[in-house]
Amino acid sequence: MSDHPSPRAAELGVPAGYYDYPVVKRPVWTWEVPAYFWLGGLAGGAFLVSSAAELFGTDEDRLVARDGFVVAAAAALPCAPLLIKDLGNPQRFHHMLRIFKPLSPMNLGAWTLAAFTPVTLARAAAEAGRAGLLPGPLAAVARLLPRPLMNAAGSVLGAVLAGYSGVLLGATNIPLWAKSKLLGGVFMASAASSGVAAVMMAAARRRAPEKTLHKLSRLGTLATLGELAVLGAFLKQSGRAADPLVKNAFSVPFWAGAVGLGSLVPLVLEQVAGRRTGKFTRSLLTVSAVCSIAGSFCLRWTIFEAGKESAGDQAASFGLSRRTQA
Amino acid sequence: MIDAYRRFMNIEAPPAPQRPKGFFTDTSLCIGCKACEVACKQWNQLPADGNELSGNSYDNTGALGATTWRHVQFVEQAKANNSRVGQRWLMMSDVCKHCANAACLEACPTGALVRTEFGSVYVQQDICNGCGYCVPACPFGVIDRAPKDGHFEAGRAHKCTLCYDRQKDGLEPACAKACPTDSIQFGDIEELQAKARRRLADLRARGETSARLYGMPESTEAAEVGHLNAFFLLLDRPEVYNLPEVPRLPRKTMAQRYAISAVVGLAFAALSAVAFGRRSG
Amino acid sequence: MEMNGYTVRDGKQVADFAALKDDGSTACGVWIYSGVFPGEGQNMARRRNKGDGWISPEWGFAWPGNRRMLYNRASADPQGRPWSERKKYVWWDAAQHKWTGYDRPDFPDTKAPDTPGQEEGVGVDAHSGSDPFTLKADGRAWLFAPSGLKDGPLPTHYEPLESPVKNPVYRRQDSPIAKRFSRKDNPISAPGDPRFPYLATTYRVTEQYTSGSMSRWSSWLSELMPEMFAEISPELAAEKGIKNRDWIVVSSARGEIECRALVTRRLRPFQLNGALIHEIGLPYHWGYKGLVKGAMANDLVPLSEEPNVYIQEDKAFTCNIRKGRL
Ligand code: SF4
Ligand code: SF4
Repeated sequence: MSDHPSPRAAELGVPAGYYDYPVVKRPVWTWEVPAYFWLGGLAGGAFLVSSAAELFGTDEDRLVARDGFVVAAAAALPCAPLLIKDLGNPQRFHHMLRIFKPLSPMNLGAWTLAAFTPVTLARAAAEAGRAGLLPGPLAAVARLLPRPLMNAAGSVLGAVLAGYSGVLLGATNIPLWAKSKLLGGVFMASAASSGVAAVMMAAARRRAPEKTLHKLSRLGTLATLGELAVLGAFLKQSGRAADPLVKNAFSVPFWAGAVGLGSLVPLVLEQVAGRRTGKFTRSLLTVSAVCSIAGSFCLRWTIFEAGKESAGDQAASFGLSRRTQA
Repeated sequence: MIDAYRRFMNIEAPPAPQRPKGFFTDTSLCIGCKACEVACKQWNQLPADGNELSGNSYDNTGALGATTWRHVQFVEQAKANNSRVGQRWLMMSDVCKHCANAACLEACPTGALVRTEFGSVYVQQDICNGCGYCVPACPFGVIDRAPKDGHFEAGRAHKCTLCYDRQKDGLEPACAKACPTDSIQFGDIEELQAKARRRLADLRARGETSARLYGMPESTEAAEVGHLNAFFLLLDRPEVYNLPEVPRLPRKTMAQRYAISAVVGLAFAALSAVAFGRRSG
Repeated sequence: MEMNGYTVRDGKQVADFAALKDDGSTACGVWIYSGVFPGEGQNMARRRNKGDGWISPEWGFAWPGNRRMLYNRASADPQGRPWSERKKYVWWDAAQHKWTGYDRPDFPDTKAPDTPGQEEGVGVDAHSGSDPFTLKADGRAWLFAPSGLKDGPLPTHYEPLESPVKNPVYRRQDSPIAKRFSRKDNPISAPGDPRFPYLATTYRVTEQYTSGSMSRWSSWLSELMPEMFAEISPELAAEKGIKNRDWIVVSSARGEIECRALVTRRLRPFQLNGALIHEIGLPYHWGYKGLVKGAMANDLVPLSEEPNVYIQEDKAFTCNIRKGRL
């Protein structure tokens, strides 16, 4: 060892970090993951809304709820295949369920999905049976299914499915996902607004009663406003880590898709629709719902991809792990 | 009960824990020969990652990854004004830290990642289904999934095993064996820690005032991930070596995250109930 | 065993090379290793003797005869007393009538400092007790070498065959007896030739072995040093508008090659006769076959032979560089 102590980085005036190599690894996941989060959230949200409509609503509202359960089942169905497709070794998907380890959000999510999917399918089957869409013996079985129990179980599972995905991403060391603790809230809110939108879309097309449509539209507005509020707080807390989302690579799909299409357009359309009735209003609300659903995908996808970008941001990683947060 | 189940399922009892073993990597001794990197690849039969000149000093392999489990950094730094005063070349052989609280292990949904009887963190290749969750969980960017279309153990997570196979046979890991300067030392973790403290005191006494240990039980970086079973003696701030100042353990904030998510969910449930309340509309 | 040497009659290992005879009664593979297996079951290389002191901490064996420093008798004056008390190493112990010290004396053990040389003696017997250089005919070190060296009798300074500057010591620029191969394809540029203003030197990196013809076939070594490069200082890079990793062409009077630039402050321009002269560093491990290929630094080197041992002069010659490719 020399007699001269080596100079420190600070004395040399060089920036921290090893060249520009990232501190953390870029996540290996691809589009299947945000697609699954989106559909899972939508299914959970739709199931919850439908259950609420059935439990608290009028007879008219209940009619809409029936469609809602079918929508939820339809959205839940592709979730497992998407999740499996993204695995490095899809033929080992069942290893997810070889242990129960809620400490791992991924494990918790796998169990939740494994439980939610049959519940929502059964619930949809019950509706199909009621609507006379099932052949005799099947319809008899479907009628036996305990609806309130399924509603309760499905609502809890659906809520977990809608809410865990943001926690899953947050419980990592990826700057954009982990910096703020609100990502779970953002995804939950987005699941809510898209869930409402999905039910509303079905309702508007199936000539549901105007009153119920208005209820859904108002609920959608509230959910969207809530989503914007949580999202705003999330972006504020994320700071520099959110650069790839709000400034760089994914800013266009984020602002135009997730915020503009997914939130602002539906808000305006729902305002315009107001208490009005008629075919035009139904069309307005259908468009609003489609925008909201599409925007919800944009939100998941942009946050997911921008998070992968932020993994390459060495300074953001250091910011995440400093005692004194910069 | 459990024993009967084990017998019935033909499950082996896990090996009895031993005194934890680990690495002390003393970067002040490293000469950058990369013998460790090659010895590791050879013993573990890991493929090369590609042949490209990085332009970053003599480091052309860049970082740890699915098929690079030891990696030697060349921190070549000087003042920006081209004076050669204070110019330095720090070498550091990086490796999986085998964290006491390992983020990768906690994230793993299949139980493929386990703590071995030697205290190291190990990926069971017959269990891992390549979900990829350990990859972003690790605060050090160590573990990675091999490409799904690659030739090497495709689609599964890989990282340093602390030469579990060699340890089973009472051998030291290949990198420590190959290191000609003893920059990489392998042994009983408590003994290594004591050795490291002595070495640090010695270096400090000789004027290396910015030398420090990274990953000791008492140091700040252990706040969340605990002590590191592969710890380091560094000659500058951790960030100079791309090491986080206080590596985060995702579990620490998980309850809050779930709570926030639950609050939003409950709020929505309440809103829906109100929206459909019989009196409304 | 063969290396260590043995007595032919009974196959017993010899204790060290002093026991070797020139009458055929002993055999030895290589005399410098004699003594590494000094007896049945003994292996000096396996020895870990902490008591060896500072000269050989825990080091098993050094040839010849486990001596750490050759000609170590020179650390004592003609009378056998250490030249310096602080640096004493081996010395004559008059009381025991033998050489002693920290190292094993590289001298006949009991030959007193005042022993006269024998006029007709064979080998070291011809040396006196104050002639430490036992492998030289007269037992002395030479500054003045009247025989043996082709370019004796005294050391002097010549510039390399190619140099950017004039010899500052003599009018004679370079060695008059270096062997040049004066052919059309092996020109030597004149001192200060403006076409080749820079110095070039060649060297190895740790990761490849000599010309690389063996190591370039190992993927593990190839990935560590994958491409031919030329190291240049930031000053020269700025002057030539070259960025790190840019392709550059390096040319000499004999040829030109293309490779990547590696800009590093490890190279420092020289101040020679008041002028700033840049140096370019070239590793020479690449060729046209192997897992990694690249240009050969030897294409630039002048073919020449140093007069004593015929090494070509590839540590200093002149060159030029430009940005771009061939
Ligand atoms: S360094 Fe990363 S991969 Fe290694 S044990 Fe810790 S969390 Fe796991
Ligand atoms: S083998 Fe030892 S000295 Fe060589 S690069 Fe690795 S740690 Fe450094």
